Amino acid sequence: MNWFRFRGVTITREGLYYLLVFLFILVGAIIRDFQLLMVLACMLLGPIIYNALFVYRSLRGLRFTRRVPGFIGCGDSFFVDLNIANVARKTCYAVVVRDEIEQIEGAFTDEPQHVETFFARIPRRDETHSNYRGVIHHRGKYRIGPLTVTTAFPLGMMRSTRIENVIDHLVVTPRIGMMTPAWRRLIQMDKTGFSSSRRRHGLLEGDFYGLRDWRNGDSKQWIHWRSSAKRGQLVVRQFEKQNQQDFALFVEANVPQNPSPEDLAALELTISMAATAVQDLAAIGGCHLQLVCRGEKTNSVAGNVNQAFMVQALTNLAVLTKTHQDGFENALVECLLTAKPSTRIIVLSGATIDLTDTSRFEKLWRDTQLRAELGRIKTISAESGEIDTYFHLPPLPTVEDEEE
Amino acid sequence: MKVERLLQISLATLAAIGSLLLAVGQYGNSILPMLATVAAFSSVYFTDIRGWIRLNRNIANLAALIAVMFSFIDFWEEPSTPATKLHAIAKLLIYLQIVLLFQPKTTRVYWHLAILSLLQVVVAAALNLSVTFGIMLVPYMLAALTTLSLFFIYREALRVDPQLRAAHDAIENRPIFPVFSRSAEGNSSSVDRGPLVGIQLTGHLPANLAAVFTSGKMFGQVSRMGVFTLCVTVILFYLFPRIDQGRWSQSFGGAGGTTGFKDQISLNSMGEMLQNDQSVMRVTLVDPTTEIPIEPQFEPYFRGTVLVNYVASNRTWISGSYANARVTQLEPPPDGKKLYRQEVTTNRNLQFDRTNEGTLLFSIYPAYASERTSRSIVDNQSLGIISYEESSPTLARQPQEYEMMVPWTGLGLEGQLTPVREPMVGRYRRYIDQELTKIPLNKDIADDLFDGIKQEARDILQRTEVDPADPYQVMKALERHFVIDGNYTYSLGVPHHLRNPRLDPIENFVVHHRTGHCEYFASALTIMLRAQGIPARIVVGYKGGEYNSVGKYVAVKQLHAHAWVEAYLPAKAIPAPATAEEFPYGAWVRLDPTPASRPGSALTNSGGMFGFAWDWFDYLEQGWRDYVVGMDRERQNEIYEPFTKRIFKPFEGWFDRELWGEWVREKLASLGINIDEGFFSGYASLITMILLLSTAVCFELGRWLLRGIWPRLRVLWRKWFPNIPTGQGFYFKMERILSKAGWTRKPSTTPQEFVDALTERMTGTENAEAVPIMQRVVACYYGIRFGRQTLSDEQQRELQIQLVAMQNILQRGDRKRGGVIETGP
Repeated sequence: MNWFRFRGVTITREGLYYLLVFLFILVGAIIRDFQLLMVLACMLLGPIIYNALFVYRSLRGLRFTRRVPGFIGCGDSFFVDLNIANVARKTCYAVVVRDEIEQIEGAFTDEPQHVETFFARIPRRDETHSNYRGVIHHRGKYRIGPLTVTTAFPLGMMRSTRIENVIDHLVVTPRIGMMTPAWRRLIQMDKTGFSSSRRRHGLLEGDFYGLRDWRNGDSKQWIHWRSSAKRGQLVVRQFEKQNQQDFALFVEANVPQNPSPEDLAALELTISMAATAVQDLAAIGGCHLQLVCRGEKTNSVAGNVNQAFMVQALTNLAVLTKTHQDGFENALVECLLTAKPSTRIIVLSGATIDLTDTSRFEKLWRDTQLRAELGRIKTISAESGEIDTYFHLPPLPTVEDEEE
Repeated sequence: MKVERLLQISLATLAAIGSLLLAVGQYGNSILPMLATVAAFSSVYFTDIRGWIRLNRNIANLAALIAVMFSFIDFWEEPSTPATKLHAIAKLLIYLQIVLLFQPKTTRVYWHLAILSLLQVVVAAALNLSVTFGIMLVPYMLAALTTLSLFFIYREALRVDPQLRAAHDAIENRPIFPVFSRSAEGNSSSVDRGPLVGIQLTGHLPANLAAVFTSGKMFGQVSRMGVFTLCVTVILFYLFPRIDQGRWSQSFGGAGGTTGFKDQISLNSMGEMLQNDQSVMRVTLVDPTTEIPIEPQFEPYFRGTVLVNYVASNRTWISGSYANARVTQLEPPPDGKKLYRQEVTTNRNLQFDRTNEGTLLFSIYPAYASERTSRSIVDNQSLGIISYEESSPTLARQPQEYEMMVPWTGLGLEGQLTPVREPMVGRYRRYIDQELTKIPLNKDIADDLFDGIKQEARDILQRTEVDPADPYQVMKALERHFVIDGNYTYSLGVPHHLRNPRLDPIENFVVHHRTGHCEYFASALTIMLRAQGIPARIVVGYKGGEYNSVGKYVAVKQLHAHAWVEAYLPAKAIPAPATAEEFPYGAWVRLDPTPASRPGSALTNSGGMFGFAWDWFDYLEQGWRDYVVGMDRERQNEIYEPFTKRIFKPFEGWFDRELWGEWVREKLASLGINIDEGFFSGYASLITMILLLSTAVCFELGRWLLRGIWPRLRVLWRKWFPNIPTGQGFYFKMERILSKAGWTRKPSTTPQEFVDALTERMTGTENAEAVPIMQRVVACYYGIRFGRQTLSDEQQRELQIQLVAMQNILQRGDRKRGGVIETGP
């Protein structure tokens, strides 16, 4: 603990050594009654007093704001802009702003990190800004701030410190990969298989909703040739009937009590797939989705997949934490009961889930109504390698890659 | 980086000024400091810019070790005086500085150079007491402030920019023995660097860094700081209370020394003295009627001590012994005689020599007491020596200032005659007739030493045809022989080829080479006079000085030391226009046989612009000596006296012990207690006992009250000032935050109970995030308060950050609740 503290002004280590040198010369001057040493001692005291007075006044008129991107992808580079307005009548020099980033929700307990940003000059009644770069490799919710503002200008012997209550939050979404055409086909199957009973009047039944770009797996019948000709690229029609297609993603974050790195990697892969799927669906639009994330806490969000939905869904996935308590059956039952009757449920999990295991899923199999619904459930696990059929995740960048 | 380049240049300037300060203090032995100055600037080009010369740490350490060894030898070299030791330290500092200057610069090297430079100034302060040190201190201070400012910016840049830091660390952490560390490097390269850390943050330096910190505004800032520092220096220097000088007080190096006017003076020592430029005193002659300082038109003689006997074996004059000297306090001035006030300010760093009565004082003679003359000044009228008596002879020093009334009668006969103030009877007559007419013999060869001088005197008198019965004419004829003849040459030393070891130097001087300084001339004339039976003695002191037209004073230096002759003239032989009535016991005639070509004898300065500037510099030098170098308790009192008198005059009686004693006596008398007869009365004892008892009761009562109130005061203090580092302020800050959010702790609730109650309320609400923070804060508080634990700086800071976060959470909760504040537990 710093022994000297007065209204945020403390003495630095260099200042302390400087004071010791001053005392040494002063004592020498007194003992030897040597006046030139006394002059030197008094001359040494001047700068440290000036430094204390200067830093004491420096930070008074500063106002801070920060601009942070609310959402970033895991491993994506981002910039945080810091803006300082100086409302005082004196120009400030050499202000160092230390910002903190700490994970407040998420699976990984990373140590809080800090970064320092240097502001050379903040003119009076003016403002200046700077930024710093960050990369976060683990999904979660992060708190940015508070700001610790310091200055020791001009000599670095006394330091004034102020903690600014400027707090922002940042959500780091799971890593986004690419869904494969098999995934698209799986979705198409939903539209053509389970829901076919609802489209017994033909594919073009229902209200016309709009046009969208053609993607792999789209039927040729949906192509709107006139618009495609106008735009020079394939455009397909969308129908209200299709929008009403119900779809549920169940992300199971259960891992053994002492999980191996492979277990954790499989879980992360699963979560990444869910996030990518949500983003993919949001890009397509016109789909009703229920996302159930079962981890330490169980979160569920349902609705038409749009930007707002995606934000909430990605947040839930970002903060999803692993669990080793087996509540999967109950959660699944809950999902079956709350989901609409025609909803197709895709269970994504790290470990393989065998729904035919009657002893494990006794409750499901005993209830005839639920048992009848089992056909709507599709399980995809990372352990079995089945996930690779639907999803591709590029490898993590190494340190060398980062440096390059 | 431009800032670093400027820092290197600034540091080189600092090192150069530090070396120059040493050079000024070493009086001629300044080749090494000048070399260091050149090295400082060349290192910027060769080491910092070009990188041609870069000492690695091994070579630098070896060079530093060799420098220490050389300096160690210098330190113990004979003669081992404080000055030689200081010179050895100065050399060591310069060697180390040169070694450091040619190393690649890191923060460590920068710090070492700065510290070395400061140490150089400390040593220079001991070696150089003149005002040049003070003048050079100003640019040094500006260079130091610039360097420290740039160095601070450089350190901050290192702190913020990881690339710059990595480059710096690569130089700083370079292995001392690369041969041994190569294998370790090879091993480390094969180790996997592991996965990426979760959060990577990278700051960078602003683009305008160099523009801001190398701009004119930055140097304006340094100038403001310099002005502030100068003001603070002056204020603190004069405010800092001085203690009495004691045995700790000593002089260093180039300072100190004595005037050299002891009771014995050899011919050689006088020559050395005449080459010394050190200031001795400052004399102002004031006309008491007009109070205007006068400008002396001729050289005053400041008399010191007298030398009577010549010891041929040592070539030394000694003062001899005269036990029954007439010593009195300075007498008041005689009526009707025009006298001037002589105000003398002495150089405190030069110790005046001692006499039988005290410390020797220099003055125009005869001297009389003025109203302000110290009673400690005594006059040995028999020998004509003025001294300053001290109660403690071991610590005796000359007074800083003294004042006397002296005649100022010019070059005529009146100015040459000094009345004898003791009757010519008894021992004094024997002293005059026997001691002052004795011609020394060489005891070793039992032969007369000065045959040549005697013969020369006879020849002179024969040649000039003066009346041998008229002592005044004889004296003047012999004096003229030295002054006017033109056969004698003034020289501070006698060349080796002119010396004859078989002859006495004075005999050799007169008969053969005729080259010498004032003591040779005075010695020769004294012996010639004694050979003619005229009592004569040598007087040593100072003649002339440098008149300063700015300060209106005569600056007397060691090089103004002089020896002249006093010859006794009986009353009947007093020449006209003086009369025997004026000199009833006879007179001493001052005879100065030294030719006028003596250097340094010119009283007036060279005039013109240069002379005027020199006068100013000299005036500054005197001020520096008086008010800086010679600053002591006495001087401080003198400065503050006018202010303190005004301030404390209304309270004068409050600190007067006598007045208080009187008041007590009166009050007690009114109670019927009379203590005038003595304090050991029955009443007084009773009162004393009652007073003591009351004091004890008051003390106990106060202590009991303080014990009861103190803990409450302490709690209140912490509550009011939670940021003051008592170590527990963070808890009170938390209470304040909770209080603002609507939860206040009741006095009957402990902190833990309070937090537990809040935990129950907050669980499941938006404020649930604050719960672990509260629990942690209260656990830390209990640890400090009851467990004697302490928190590190980092932990304290972390708690502060968490408290800010908690405040944020609670504010957010308040907003969501729509401003509804829950009641406290």
